[in-house]
Amino acid sequence: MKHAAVLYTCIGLMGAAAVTGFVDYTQASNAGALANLYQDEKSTTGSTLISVKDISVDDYSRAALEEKMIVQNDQEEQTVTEQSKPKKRKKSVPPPPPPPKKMNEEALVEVPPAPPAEAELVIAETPPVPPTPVVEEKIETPPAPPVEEVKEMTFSPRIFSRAPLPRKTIAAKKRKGS
Amino acid sequence: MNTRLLTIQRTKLVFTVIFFWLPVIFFSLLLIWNTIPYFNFSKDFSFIQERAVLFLKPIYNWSFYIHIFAGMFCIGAALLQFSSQILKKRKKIHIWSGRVYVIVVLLLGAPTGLYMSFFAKGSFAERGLFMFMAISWFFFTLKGFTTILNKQVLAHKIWMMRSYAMALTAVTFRVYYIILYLYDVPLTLNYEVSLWISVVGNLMVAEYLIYRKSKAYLTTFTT
Repeated sequence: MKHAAVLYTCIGLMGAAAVTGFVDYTQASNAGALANLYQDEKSTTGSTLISVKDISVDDYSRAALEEKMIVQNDQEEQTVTEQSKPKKRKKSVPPPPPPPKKMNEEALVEVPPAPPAEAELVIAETPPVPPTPVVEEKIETPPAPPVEEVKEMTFSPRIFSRAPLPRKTIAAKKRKGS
Repeated sequence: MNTRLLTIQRTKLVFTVIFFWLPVIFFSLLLIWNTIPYFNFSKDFSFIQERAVLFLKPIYNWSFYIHIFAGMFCIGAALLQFSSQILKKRKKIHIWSGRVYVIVVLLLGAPTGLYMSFFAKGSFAERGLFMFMAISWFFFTLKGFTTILNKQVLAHKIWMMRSYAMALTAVTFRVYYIILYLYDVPLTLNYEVSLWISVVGNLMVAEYLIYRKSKAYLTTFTT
């Protein structure tokens, strides 16, 4: 009974959806709105990949922009010249630019040399420093006590263990410490 | 049983998991993930902007949001239905997710889909195909539900496989669309072709799986 009610409800919903859809569709077709249901495909449909693919990077490059500017300037100049032709203006020839002045060779030769630096003179006048006598001090150091079994102390694995060290190594450590 | 036969069976199982279920699960979850942003009810999505005229109608607007909401739950619930482990060990999960699937499809997904199919993109044939999808999805799910109420387990399995094949067209359509897009197929043609391939292809795959499973399925279905 309960399931039957659910089933009939679902079937009723489907029927309602079908009827509503059909009515709306016929209304839209009568109004002629079906043709304009979807926007322009190129502008909206497809994934973002499409928009990325369509972008041409060259159009925005500096070289392309400069070329465009040059072409535009040429066109503008052409139009200006075409407009100015019928007026027949007299061409005013500008005077040639003056030749560059020649350098005065004598002036170059007579330039006095720069004075020598004072530091050089000071170095030359100062007398040579006599060599200091080296005094060799004899330090009487007491003879070092003979170290016994150093290898055993430094590299033996016993050092890293928690077990008490052997007496020999303890004695050697004490001597080294003193 | 012979150990060689056992090995072959296990290999088949591994292959079906890798080449069928893993992609299905991945793309289903991806579809659900991509649907979530629509619920901020913004109109900035290309899908909505393309149908801006249609979305001015409140019925269409609500149908769309109900449809995608139902689709999310339907695809999510269906992923749990075909696991034999869940069916054997956690039968309650199967039952409850099945109830969610049936209610969502019959009450929400199929009716809204049928309404929207009248205004679907494409020619008259594509609209007809969308109508067929909505009606067949509803019918297959209804049959699957009634058969399990009558304790016809095998028939229930068959109908539910067909129902899931229809539900999965949302996933396969997008996969075909992307593949054809990569091959530079024009957008309108791509849309139509991927739609037809997804619907017809899914139905054919479902029928093949049903046929291969067992002839006993077919005999119970016919009777």
